[in-house]
Amino acid sequence: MSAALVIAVKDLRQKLRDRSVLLMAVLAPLGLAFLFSTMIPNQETFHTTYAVVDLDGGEIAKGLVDGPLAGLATAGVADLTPLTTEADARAAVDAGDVSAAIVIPAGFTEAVRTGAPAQLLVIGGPSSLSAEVARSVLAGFGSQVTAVQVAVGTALAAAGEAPDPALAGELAAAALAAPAPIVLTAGETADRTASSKTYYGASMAVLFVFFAAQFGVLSLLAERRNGTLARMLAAPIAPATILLGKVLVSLVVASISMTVIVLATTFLMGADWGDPLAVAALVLAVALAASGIATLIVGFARTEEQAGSFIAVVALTLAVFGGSFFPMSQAPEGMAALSLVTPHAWFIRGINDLAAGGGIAVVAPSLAVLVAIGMVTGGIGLLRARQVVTP
Amino acid sequence: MNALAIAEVNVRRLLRDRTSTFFIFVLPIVLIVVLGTVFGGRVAPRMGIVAVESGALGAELVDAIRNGAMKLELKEPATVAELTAGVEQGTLEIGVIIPPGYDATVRGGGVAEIVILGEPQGAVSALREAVSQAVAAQAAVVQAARLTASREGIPFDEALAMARSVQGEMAGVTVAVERIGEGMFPAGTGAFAPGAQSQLVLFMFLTSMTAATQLILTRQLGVSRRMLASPVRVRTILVGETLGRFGVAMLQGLFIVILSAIVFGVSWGDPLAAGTIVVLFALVGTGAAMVVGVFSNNPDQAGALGVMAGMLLGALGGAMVPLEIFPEPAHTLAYLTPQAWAIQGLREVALRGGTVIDVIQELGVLVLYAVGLLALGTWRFRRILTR
Repeated sequence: MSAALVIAVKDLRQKLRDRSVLLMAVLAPLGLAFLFSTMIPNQETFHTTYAVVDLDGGEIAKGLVDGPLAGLATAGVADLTPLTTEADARAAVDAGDVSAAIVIPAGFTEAVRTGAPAQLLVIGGPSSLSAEVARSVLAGFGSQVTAVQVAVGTALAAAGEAPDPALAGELAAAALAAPAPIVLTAGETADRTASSKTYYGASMAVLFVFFAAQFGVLSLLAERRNGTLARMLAAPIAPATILLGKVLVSLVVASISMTVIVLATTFLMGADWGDPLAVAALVLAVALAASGIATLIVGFARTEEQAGSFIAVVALTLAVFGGSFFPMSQAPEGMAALSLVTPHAWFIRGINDLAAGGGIAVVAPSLAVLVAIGMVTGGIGLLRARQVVTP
Repeated sequence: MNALAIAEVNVRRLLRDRTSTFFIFVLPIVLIVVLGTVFGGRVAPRMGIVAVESGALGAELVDAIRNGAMKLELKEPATVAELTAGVEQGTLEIGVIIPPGYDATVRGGGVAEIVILGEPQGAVSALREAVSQAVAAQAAVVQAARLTASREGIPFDEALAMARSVQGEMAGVTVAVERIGEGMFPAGTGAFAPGAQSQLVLFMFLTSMTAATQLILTRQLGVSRRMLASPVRVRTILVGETLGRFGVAMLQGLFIVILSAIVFGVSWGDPLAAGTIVVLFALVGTGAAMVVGVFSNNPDQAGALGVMAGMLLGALGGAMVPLEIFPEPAHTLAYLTPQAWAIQGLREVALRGGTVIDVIQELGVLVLYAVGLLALGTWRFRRILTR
């Protein structure tokens, strides 16, 4: 055991002096995580801007502006800019100053009151969702303001009576006084998606952990090439001890790389990873999985170069399908299911689960899968790698 | 001629390595496919609705939401638990629960409660307008029917039918929508086109960067010293080494362009304009690789530095995430990278039918980058070679 430690410590010191380890295991993932999280707008916070042109100025138009539209502003969905002419609004949309414009035509209030056709106008820009939201709001408002007319019209038609102003007034009052038959309420959900800062920290960390994990086991092949392995085997050290030392280096470098990224994104970028103990467990589990996969590849490779480039191929392929570059929640269901064969998907899933709070129990499924991946691949890899160290 | 021979050796050496061929030819195509599948097919926010045993009025409401003003991808999970999980994990942007017995509550004169699920509130407040719109229309007829049924003593269903016909006949308030300007990508842009353009730029640069390692190996192994000992001029070696890198980048560029055009039907637009951009960008990549190669001390360092520079510049220049969605100041900063100019040029040519004249500015910037980097790289390389 102590011999394994000596080998591991010597390798570690060698690796920490090598600047390419620092580049690939720490700087590259941190840089990419920082770039992604600052460049990509947080898609979860939909926010838009509307120009509002009230050419009518009547009571119902005011009701629209002060009611549903003001409601959008209060809910943080949209910023409203009042403009005076339709041409101004058109220009504002065209210039990209606002996402869409809402025009209330002159005579709108009068038309609604008399039951004449009334038309509201939405001028949409490049963002189709902004225009669709505006249209939904206006259509909903249209149904509300004509609800009383529908009620009065139906009641009069059922009674077969001529439109008597007094009766119509009485019916309208009754309709207005009735409570809304259908209400919308907000339900409680836990947010089990990590913030984009945390997501990109996690996804880049798990992408590059493979490059960190390769350093230990790869040196096994390098030492065989250099002839230093033969010399170690000539010493009274069991072959298994040498293997253990190398795997230890992989595990330690991988864990250190991930830990540095977790700490740096937390303190420099404001990422929120969640319960520290659970994060630490996930980090160790994913370091194990990455080391296992690296050991498997080393076990089957002939040369250091071959193993190194094959690890890069496997790491990038798994990252693409595992959701390191874009959240798998956005993907079609088939692809999201496919992603579950990768350690990347399970690690990111674990971090997402932690976003709602909770401790190590929450991430138990992720931990189990990651450890299993590490044990199986690492086990097969070590069986194969025994041939490398057999004198 | 000697220069060509050196270039040829370079290209062959790279192509014989099977893992290099993976990075050069397979990975870019895999990414184009995945990006196209994940983002290309996605047109609208996803809404999940559970309307189990909500009756005829519940079903009517679901139809109204489906045909409403907002374009949504409607999913109908079987249970509320499934819906909640989807919303919590972000596979559904908003969840809507129309309670069991909704129909009976509404007909019976009670107040029906529709639950909206979603985090964070900003996005959900926008999407819930689709539900509000449908609810407002249904509430109007329900209210009319209730009033009429109670006043006239007729069955609710009969009154509801009357209210519907009154609502249908009424002029009411309509909403017209007019669109000005174009979307993020013009209409008719294929699912794979934006991804193919970005991956071309990302990978041509990355491939060029791996050449930096080879440059150092050439030097370390003494290949360049031996070449110098032969009757080959320094300039020839320089041109040859440069051409080799350029050849590999071009080979990859052509492969991506042709394969994506044939297999995924990606249109690249005017061949002359697109071709000029690709050639210039390959030169920029070659120049960058030489600079990294001559300023690094060992192959490992050059390799790591090259890949990192390729990835970071790619990310910053819009080769990983479309430039079109960058907020400021990232959008302005992006144009410090050659990647952003190349992508902008390719988009203009492929998506908006641009010609060489339309992308003259992009071409100019790429020429400047190529000349600057190549000059710096060859100047240092000459000094190292002849040292």
